[in-house]
Parts: sequence; structure tokens; C-alpha cells
Amino acid sequence: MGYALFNIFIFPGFLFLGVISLVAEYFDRKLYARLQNRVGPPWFQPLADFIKLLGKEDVVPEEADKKMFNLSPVFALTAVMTAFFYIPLWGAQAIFSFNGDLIVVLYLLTIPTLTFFLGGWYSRSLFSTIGAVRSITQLFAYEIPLFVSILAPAMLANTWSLSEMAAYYNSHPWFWLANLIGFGVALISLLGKLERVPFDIPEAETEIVAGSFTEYSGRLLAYFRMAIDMEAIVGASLLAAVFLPFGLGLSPVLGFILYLIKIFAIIALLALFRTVFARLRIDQMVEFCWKYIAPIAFFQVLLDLVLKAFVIR
Amino acid sequence: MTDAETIKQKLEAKFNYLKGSVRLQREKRLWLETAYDKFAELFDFAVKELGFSFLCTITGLDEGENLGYIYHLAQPGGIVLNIKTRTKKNEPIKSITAYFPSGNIYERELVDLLGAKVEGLIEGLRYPLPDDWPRDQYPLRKDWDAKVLEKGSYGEMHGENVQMPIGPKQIKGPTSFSIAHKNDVTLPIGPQHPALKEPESFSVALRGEKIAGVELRLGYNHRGIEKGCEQRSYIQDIYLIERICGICSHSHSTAYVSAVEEIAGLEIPKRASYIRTIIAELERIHSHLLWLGVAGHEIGFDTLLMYSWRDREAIMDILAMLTGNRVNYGINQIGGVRRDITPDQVPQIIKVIETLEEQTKYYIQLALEEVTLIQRLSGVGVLSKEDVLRLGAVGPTARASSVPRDTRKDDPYAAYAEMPFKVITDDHNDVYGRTIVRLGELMESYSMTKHALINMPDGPISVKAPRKIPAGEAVSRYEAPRGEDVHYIKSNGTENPERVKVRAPTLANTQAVSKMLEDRYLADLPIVVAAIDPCFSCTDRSISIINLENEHEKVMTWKDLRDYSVEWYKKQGVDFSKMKRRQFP
Repeated sequence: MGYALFNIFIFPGFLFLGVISLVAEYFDRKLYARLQNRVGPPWFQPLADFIKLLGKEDVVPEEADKKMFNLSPVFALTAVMTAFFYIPLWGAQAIFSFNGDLIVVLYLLTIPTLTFFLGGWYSRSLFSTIGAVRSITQLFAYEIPLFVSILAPAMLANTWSLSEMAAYYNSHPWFWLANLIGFGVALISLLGKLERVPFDIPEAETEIVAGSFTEYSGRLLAYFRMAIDMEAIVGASLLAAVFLPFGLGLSPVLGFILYLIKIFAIIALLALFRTVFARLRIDQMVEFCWKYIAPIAFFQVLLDLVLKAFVIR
Repeated sequence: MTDAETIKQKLEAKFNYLKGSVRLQREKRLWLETAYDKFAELFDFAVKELGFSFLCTITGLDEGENLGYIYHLAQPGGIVLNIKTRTKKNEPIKSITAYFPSGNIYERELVDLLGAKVEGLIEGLRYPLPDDWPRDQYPLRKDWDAKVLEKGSYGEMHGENVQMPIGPKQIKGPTSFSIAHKNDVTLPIGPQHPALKEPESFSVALRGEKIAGVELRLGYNHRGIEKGCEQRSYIQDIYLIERICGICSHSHSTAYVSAVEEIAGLEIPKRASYIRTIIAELERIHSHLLWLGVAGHEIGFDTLLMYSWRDREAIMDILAMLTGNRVNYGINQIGGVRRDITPDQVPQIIKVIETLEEQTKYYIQLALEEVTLIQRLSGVGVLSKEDVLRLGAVGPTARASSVPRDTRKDDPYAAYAEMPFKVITDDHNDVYGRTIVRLGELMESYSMTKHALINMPDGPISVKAPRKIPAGEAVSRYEAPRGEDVHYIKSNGTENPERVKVRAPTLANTQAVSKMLEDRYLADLPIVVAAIDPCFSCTDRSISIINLENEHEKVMTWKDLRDYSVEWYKKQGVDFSKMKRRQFP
């Protein structure tokens, strides 16, 4: 019991997730800055930002629906934290698992976007409303490719449980190479989920100020930002578990280091995309996802089915 | 016989009463005067028969009994025809928007600032005065005194029943869309918005993500510079004019001093005009690099912003080295320039320019190859060649629609007549084309600066200018980084000018913005607006600061505000009032 609580709250639970997401935010910002020929923030900047935001006044717009406005950030944070427990990190076993947890994780990861929508919509500000609508429009564009690309490896492993998937790929080394196309699709979708350039359309500063978050300030904004940071880690961990399931049998220390390398590599890729692209328009984004990304994701499924039927007996 | 002389002959042949009164003040400058009842026919002839296809601006003058109007018309060859006419103060003039839709904004200025009555002016928002400015106060009239706006005196002057100017709360926002649909959302972009670097207001009617209509309200940046110039001496005015804009500061001051020099009949030394040209081109380089960064930021491509602004810093350093200042160079004086370029500075400048040439080649390659950049820029903000000519767009905005309108070529000033350079045009007609044009112009500016530095003649850098400038008038045109900048100066033989009129390039270009935004998406708005490289501080230059304390609003002084914030924080448990401030040596 005590150990389970330790797992949930300290390591690799909430505290670890909090710390690593701040480290990841620093890593992302510093790398982004260096790629742009800037100095970048000092290592404690994300933590300092977080603490400072916590100390600021919460301003709730008069027009806003107070309940939804206040609850949205908390929902976002909770959903992301819950999802983290079902993802195998360095061993083949997650803290909790059951057959079907893959689906649960994917749905839990959809909740933050929904809270962005609700928070923005109930702010009643024009900028927030437009941002909220854009969030949800974008959700429909990237969510299907993301789901399909993650389901493909699951089909190959013949299970709906992330832990069992990890165990399967651990006992069949090199099979993960078959899913590299899906990995690319999932990375692009993750950019959309995290609302990063080129898919930062819902927060496009020069058009709609900060989108859904325009009216948020103080503690509530801090929670939202924390949720996004954690979502980056959870997303990266999910991708690492599904698409890069190698080296899981190593000793805990080595395994932990390998896990860090994997997720930071994914975060570095996201930062790189952020550096080299301009923001797309919402119509271009939706078109891009449905015309190119979704078919590629379906191709991955087809590839895995063919492999399963003819190559792997 | 030059073209200007041919035009003069044609005018005199057509209109008998003009015989002998058409004045060719200098090459490419024609001046004539006409009574207002004969104006319409003359104007029609000039536009339709003589090919004056571009309205630079309209200047209004307070002549005591009368209001004077000067219509500055230009043709592609660079000849400017200045038609002067006058009416009694209470008599109306007819709008010329049938010939030039762009005249609308200049006429609005006449109405607000001089109290002209214009028949046929399109209904719309006020420009350039604030909404709560009294309708019967015309600040550019000679007898106008800012004191009337102080509390009490306005009411005293006009009796008890006069309504005080309405307070901010009672002002209705600009929301009168004729095309607005009941499902449309009106989004306020501005006066304060992250996409805008200066305050101005775009009210955008949105149908989903599509723009259904845009209403533009300018004038948030008025500082009374035109009026201020009339109250200062010519020398003080150089520095005031320079502060119209933080980016094209040299443009405005050069346009101003060349007009004054023309009136005073001063011939400036060759070396001075070369130095003016070098500073002008360096200014264009820094402005275009700045634009490139802003454009990148508007489409969410911050990496481009960081890179191009890093490069721009090198040019700023050069400007600081040459003039002592990064922004307001203060290099011009009447009769020449203030500082010389020393021989050991030349290789330093050339070295920096060569580095920048390499960088710019990389940006050109980037613009031609980067997919998301092209997707966001091409086909956006389309302005056809016909629209450019109709709406009177200037600068890179016009050149990107294959209109080779460049004052440096058409009507050379400073040392541009001796500079080898191409006028860069493009036929994309969109924001992408404007990017290509600006990048191409950067390359031209580099080679032009190098040429000027190497071929700079020796000699003095200034001639002595008189304190009092003889009576006269002059129009000078200058190709600022954003387009043609027009200054009109009228002198009356004293130390102070009688009238200074400035038409900044952005004012000419803003009128094309609504056209460019037709049927576009909200996401395109920032980049379309940015693509004309708007400079609203240039555009909104006139009018004194309104010093008006009205009944409804409590005006807080800086001290009140500070005390309030200290009190507020005390309630939160933080006491800033005893905080020690760091002393700087």
C-alpha cells in the first residue's frame, strides 16, 4: 500500500511528472532559443514562471461561467496525470494496466483539448471563443491519424494493453522498425495536440491574442501551462512506449537513462519542427491532416495487417 | 524640350487664362493657380489628357478669408503638377473621389483639420481627429488656439448651452458595417493587439473564419507635428520632423530639408548628397530587414524574426557609428549634412554589407523554397495592377504588382541620379511578391551603398543656410522604405514656416488594405496588414494632444496611479513604498 502511494505521488507519479515536465520545458525553450541564435532562459526559468504565476491574481471575467472557467484547468491537469499511470516507462510494466488501457490513455489525452475548448468557450471573450472553436476544429483533424497510427502497432502485438504491447515488442526485438511510418504520423499529430508551431493555430498570438487562454491569468493559467507541459511528457512517453519499445529489459538505472534519452529526443524533434516552420492556416491544417497524414496512418495499419497475416506466423 | 515644358505648353494652349502663369519652379515641378469655378475642367484635363494618374496628396491652407487647396498630381515620368485653387471658408468644394478613390482620406483630413466642406465625400469614420474632438474646432486654422480645449473656456466661449465634447464612455465603437450579417462576429483587432506594433483599430466582421468586412480607424497616434512645425523655426523643425517615425526618420528629414533648400535656392555640395544617399540606403536596409522579421512573426515563424533582427543589429551599429544615433540620426541640416564619413569608416561599412549580402542570399533562397512560408504568403492579399493604379498604392506594395513606381528613379533626389540600380518589380501581386520585392531591394541597396561609398566625391559637406527662408513653396518627394513620402512646405519670409504638410507612404497604402482582405481568412489579416509595412506613427502625425478633463472620467496623474498601486499592494501584504531603488552611477 505504502509503495503504491509512493508510486502514485512521488516516483514515477505526480512529483516526478511535474519535475520532468519543467525540465522538458526548459530543454525545449533552450533548444528553440539556441536554434534561433538566442541565449535562451536559465535552467530554473520554467519553475520560476510557474511559481510567479501561482502568486498572481486570478481574474475571472464578469461574463464568464465561473464554474467551468475555474474547473477547466483542473480537469486538464487531472486527465494528463491519470494517463501517465498507464504508460510503461522504462520497464515493460506500467504502474497500472488492464486490457484496453491503450484506449483509455488516448481518451484521457483528448480531455485537455476539450478543456481548452470549454475554458475558452465559457470565457465569453471573442478571442477565446474563436480560439476554442479552432481548438476543436483542429482536434478533428489530428485525432484520427493519431488514433489510427497508435492502433497499428497494437494490432501487430494483438493486444489493447500498453504494458502487454511493450512486453510483446520486448520479446520480438526489431519489430518496432515496422512502425516507423506510424511514428512520424504520431509525431505530427502530437504537434497538433500540443498546439505547437506549425499547428499553434488555436493560440495564434498575432490573430487572436492567446486563443482560449486569453482571459486566463494567475493560478488557473499556471495549471493550464503545467497541464500542457505534462501533456508533452505524457505524449512523448506514449510515443516512446508504442513506437520505440527497445531496451526494456535493461537494469532500472540504465533503463531509466534510456527512457530519458527517448523522450528528450522526441521533445528535441518537436522543438526542431517549431523552429523551421511557419504557422499554417486552419483550413490548410485540416486539409493537410486529412489529405496526407490520415492516409499514411491507414497505410501503416495495412502494413501491419499484411505483416501479421503473411510474414509473422 | 523637356516633358514638363511640353505639358506646360499643352496647358497654356488649352486654357487661355493660364498663359504665362504656369510656373516651372524646377525640373519636374509645375505650379499653376486657377479660380475654383474653372478647377473641375482643368483637373479633368490634367488627369485624362495629360496622364497625371497619381494623386500624391491634397494640401489645405488657411489664407485668412479663404481656404486654399493644392492638388499634387504626379505622372509616371515623375513630373508633379500642383494645382492651386481657393474658395471662401464657408463654400464647399467637390470631392475628387470619382477620379481618385484614394483622395477620400486626404479630403477627410481637410474636413477635420481645416474645416473644409467637401461635397460627395463618402460617409465613414472620422479621420484623423479623435471621436470626442469638438466638431467645430479646426486645429490647422491660423486663428485656432489649443486653449479652447481646456476645461471651462470651451463652454465660456460658446455659451452655456454648448455641449461639451463627449467622454470616452459615450463613444460608440466603429461597428457600422453595411455588409454585416446577423450571424457575423465583430472582432476588435486593436487599438491594442499583439499583431499591431502601434495603435490603430481594425474592426473585422467575421463569418466563421472568413472576413466579411473590415473597418479601419486611424488617428491614435496624433501628436500635432504639422501644427507644431508652424510654431517652430526651420532648424527646430528638422528635429521635430525626424521624430515623425522611428524607422524612416531620415526619409522625413531629408524630404523636409530638400524642400526648404529648394525654396531658399541652396545648392548642396555633392559630398553631402552622397552622404544623404548612403544613410538613406542604410535606413532602407534596416527597415526591410525589420519588415522581414515582423512578417515572419505575423505568420508564426519566429525563427526568421530572430535571424533577420540579429542581422539588422549590424546595420544599426553602422548607423550609430556614422551619425552617433541608432534611430533618429540627425544627420541632415539645411544646406548639407552634419557629419562626414571618414576614410577609415568605409572599409568597416563595406565589410558589414558584404556579410549581410550573404545572409540575404540565404533569405532569398529560404523564401523561394520553404513550403510553409510559401503556403502562407502566396495568393494572400492580392492587389491587381489596376487596383494599385486606382487606389494609389506606393512603394513595394505597388512594385509587387508590377507597377514600377519608384521616386528614386522617376524623380531623383540626393545623389540617386548617379546611382546604378534597378527598380525591382514582381508580378505575383500578393504578399509573396512583396517579400520578393523587398528582398530584391535589399540586394540593390547593398550594391548602391557600396557604389556610393567608393565613388563619393571629396569636398565640403555643407553650405551656410540663412535663418530666414524667403517666401515660396516647394514639394519634395522621397522614396522611403515604405513608399513615396511627400512633403509640402510654404514659407512666408520669416524664421518659421507657414505650412508644413506631410503625406507618409502608409497613408497611401492603408486604402488598399480593405481591398486586399476581401474574402480572406482571419489568419491572413496580420500578414496582409504587415505586408504594406505599416507605419502608423508616420501616418498619424498632426494635431495637438487633447488636454481635456471631462465630467465622466477621473483623470489619474502618474502620481495618483503610483499611489493607488502602492495602496493596492499594501492590502495584499506587500509594501513597495519603502522599497529601495537601485542607484546607478
